[in-house]
Amino acid sequence: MNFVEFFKNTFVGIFRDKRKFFYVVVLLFCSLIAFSILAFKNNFDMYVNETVTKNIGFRTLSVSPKQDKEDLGLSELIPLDHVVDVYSFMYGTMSVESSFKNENVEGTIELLYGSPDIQPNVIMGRGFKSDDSNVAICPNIFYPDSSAYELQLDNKYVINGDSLLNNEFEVYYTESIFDFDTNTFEEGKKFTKKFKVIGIYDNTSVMNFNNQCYIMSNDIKQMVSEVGSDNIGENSYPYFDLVVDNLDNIEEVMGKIKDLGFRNVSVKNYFDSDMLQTIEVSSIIVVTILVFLTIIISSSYIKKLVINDSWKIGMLKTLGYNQQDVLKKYFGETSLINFFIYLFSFLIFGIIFLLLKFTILSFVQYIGVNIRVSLFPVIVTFIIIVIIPLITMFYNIYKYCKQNIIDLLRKSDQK
Amino acid sequence: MKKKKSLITLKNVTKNYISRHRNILVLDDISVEFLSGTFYLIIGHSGNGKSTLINILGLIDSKFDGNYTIYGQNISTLNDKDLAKIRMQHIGFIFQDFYLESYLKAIENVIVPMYINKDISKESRKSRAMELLDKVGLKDRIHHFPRELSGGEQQRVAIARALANDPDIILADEPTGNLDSTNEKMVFEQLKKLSKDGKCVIVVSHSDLAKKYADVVYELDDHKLREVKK
Ligand SMILES: Nc1ncnc2c1ncn2[C@@H]1O[C@H](COP(=O)(O)OP(=O)(O)O)[C@@H](O)[C@H]1O
Ligand SMILES: [Mg+2]
Repeated sequence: MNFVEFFKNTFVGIFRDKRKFFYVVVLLFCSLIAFSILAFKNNFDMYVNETVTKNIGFRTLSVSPKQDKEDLGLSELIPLDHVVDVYSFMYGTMSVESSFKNENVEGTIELLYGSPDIQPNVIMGRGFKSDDSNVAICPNIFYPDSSAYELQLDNKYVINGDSLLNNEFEVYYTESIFDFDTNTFEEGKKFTKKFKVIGIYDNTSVMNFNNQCYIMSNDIKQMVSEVGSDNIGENSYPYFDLVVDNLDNIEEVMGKIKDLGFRNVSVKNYFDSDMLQTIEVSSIIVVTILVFLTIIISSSYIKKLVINDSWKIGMLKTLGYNQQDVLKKYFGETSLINFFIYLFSFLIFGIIFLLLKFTILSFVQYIGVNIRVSLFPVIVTFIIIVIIPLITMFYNIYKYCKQNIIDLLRKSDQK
Repeated sequence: MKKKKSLITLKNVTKNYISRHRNILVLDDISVEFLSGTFYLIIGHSGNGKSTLINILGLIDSKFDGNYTIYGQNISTLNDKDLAKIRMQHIGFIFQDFYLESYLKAIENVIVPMYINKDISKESRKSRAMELLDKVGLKDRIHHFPRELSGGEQQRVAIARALANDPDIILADEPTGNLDSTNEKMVFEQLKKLSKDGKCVIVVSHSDLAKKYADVVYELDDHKLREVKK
């Protein structure tokens, strides 16, 4: 029998035999669920590993200062192990107008506190060095407009990393003076500062907005002081931002800070670890159930196919089929059917996946979720849907086709 | 008429079943020769070992003492694969229960044995199967499933299947046990025709009708096989 014939016979068989058809439909369903769950879990893991953990906010602690200390406790915090930097939260970020302004975009960008230890992965150009000043690391999809905060980019006016790298831009900001008589801020001196774009980073992969550029800590400290917003009286340090070197050391550092007597210590961007665990555990449960379900379904099907119909094997052998021929027939059929189920469900899954990705889920890409199908669900589903049933099949068919013909034929006489 | 050839020779064949640590003697020192172009009938009371004997002849039971020679080859020198090949080339088996695959049409059932026969090309399988079904009188039934056929028709499909690889030896274990007398007659006529075409046909049957078609009748009694004069 050549492959085309074998293929044809197998598929004709599916449509004639209700039992086979049912098996195919159920397993197809299992396969689809396996793909979906595994792809979801995989994407979620990648999201947590690649995106969430790279956002510096997840390893930044907010610490209330000690008001009774002259330096507000800063000297106690700086020497702690794993602490990369401590600064007033006011230096963390600053919104400014910039020379990117034209008739299409406002030019509004947000500058973020940076240093050699506090910077994103640079994908073009270079990162910060300790003696840098007047340099910036900007997004690869740069959109200097306040609508970037709403994730509403007008693709026509987006500036790509290639054209941004090594360019210079200016930012404009104004001193604001608090007038105690009128209780209002008044504009004071105007400032201009020049920056050179030395590096480009992927802002979506660290959950940043498309108008957020990192600059060196000294530059942002200078600018914030010039504006005067760090000098509004006694409460000029409502809290510190404390950056830890690694996500794994967060708990340890938090404990030490609390031991030193600081109050109100919390992680700036907090990720719900309970939810993380719920997703982790429930996907493992579903996958385990699926594995068992597949084993039960395919082994009960194979049982029907091989054991209850053992007379068919007996008859084939009577007709002159040898052990190898029988094995080839049954094993080949199961491989083909299960591989077809796998491919077909992969196809359906792929279509649904692409539809979802470009419709309902398209927004999530802007918050750094890059949904994709990696090898993980493809391989695991293959194991569940193809490999496991084939092993079950091989085991059973081998056991049965070794039996003598009379016993095989007689089994059906008894039922 | 062609000269009859010796196809199968049994010499001192003895068969014991071991059941619950007890030996059950079924066949005791049987020696017999089967020739081509002859219709053999084996009769005997139920439980006398007729099926046991025909299973041995059909190479589907090879656990026995004594010598079995087929086409001059002693089967004790052959492995499972060789035995399967002999079954494929030389033996056609017909059972009381037909054993047709219910999800295959008549013609597809007939083709099943041809898949493992390299001498039958892919292109000729269909026409050959149609020819065989025509021969057993099922020309208009080739695309029917077994459930759409009567018992007699199903048995004739089974006969066509047994003939798929053109064997010289046809074995039938109570082939009409499930059939009415009209169908019974038709089946025996088919088998008779085959023996006239030069095949060695060995039939186990209770039927009185069978005796009319048989060239040689053996009775299995008291573990021994002896020829009965008609
Ligand atoms: N597998 C077996 N194990 C033990 N005894 C068996 C087995 N097969 C058949 N027998 C016994 O062998 C005897 C002959 O059986 P069988 O050849 O089927 O007789 P027949 O076909 O003439 O009715 C019976 O007594 C039966 O019980
Ligand atoms: Mg019997």
